[in-house]
Amino acid sequence: MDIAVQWNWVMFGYGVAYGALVLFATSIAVRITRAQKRLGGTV
Amino acid sequence: MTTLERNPSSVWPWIVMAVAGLVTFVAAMSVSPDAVQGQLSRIMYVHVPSAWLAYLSFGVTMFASAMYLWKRDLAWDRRAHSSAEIGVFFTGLAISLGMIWGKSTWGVWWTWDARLTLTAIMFFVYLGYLALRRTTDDLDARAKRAAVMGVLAVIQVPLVHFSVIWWQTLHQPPSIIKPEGPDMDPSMVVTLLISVLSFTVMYAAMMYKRIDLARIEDAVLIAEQTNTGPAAGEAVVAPDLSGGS
Repeated sequence: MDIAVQWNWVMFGYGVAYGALVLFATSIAVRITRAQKRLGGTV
Repeated sequence: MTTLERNPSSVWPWIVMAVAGLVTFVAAMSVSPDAVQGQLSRIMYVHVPSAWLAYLSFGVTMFASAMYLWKRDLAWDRRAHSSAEIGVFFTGLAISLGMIWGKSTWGVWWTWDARLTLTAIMFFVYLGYLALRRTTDDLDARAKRAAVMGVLAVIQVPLVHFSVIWWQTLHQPPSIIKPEGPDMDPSMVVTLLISVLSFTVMYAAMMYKRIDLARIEDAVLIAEQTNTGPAAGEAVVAPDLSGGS
């Protein structure tokens, strides 16, 4: 397989991995913010 | 009783996660490519740590579930829940990255070999664990049901791990942890260890924030269940039929 094609697959994999990590971390942050609001901002 | 003495707005866990991700990326891009797979071998440095964190997460879920059943402390239930959710995430990530690596090296996205199939089953069983937790708002009942499942479901971890030894699979057997030692170049072993360590630190930071979330969500649930506001019809007073005597 051509090296450029190999790099495309590698970057695709890392894009999926880091994209998913950012989304998951963001979901935790958003849910914390929403839960704090529901609790009335007392925490 | 839910206490919230920790500051859920703390920023340092996010910074730790970002640094851990950066360390993995730099290490994975710096190491020499594999002699056979070439650049494609770099996918290993995120695929293997993701699979490791799946094992670790479900192991922690099992331990925390057992501790809940012993101590009946909801803090252990929150740890089990948090670790299970992170484990489901990393199992899904390991499967996704394995599919990308598989397509680029084997030529197929998926094959029904023992490792892949058992990993998919493990993913769906722990999704079931998360779904089970949503079947009731009773904190103690929820924790008890989830703890039993959290203890039992961990049997899948050794099944997944040893599947490549017990059955003939397209997935390769272990390359690092084996009796005769690693059959990889030392530079690749070191890079893999760095990425596994970085991802483990990332897991710890994620757990910190996810447990914060679980504590606040439990506090919300308790506040809603102990809401002492007026109930419908509460203002209606029964007539006095005693005749004034």
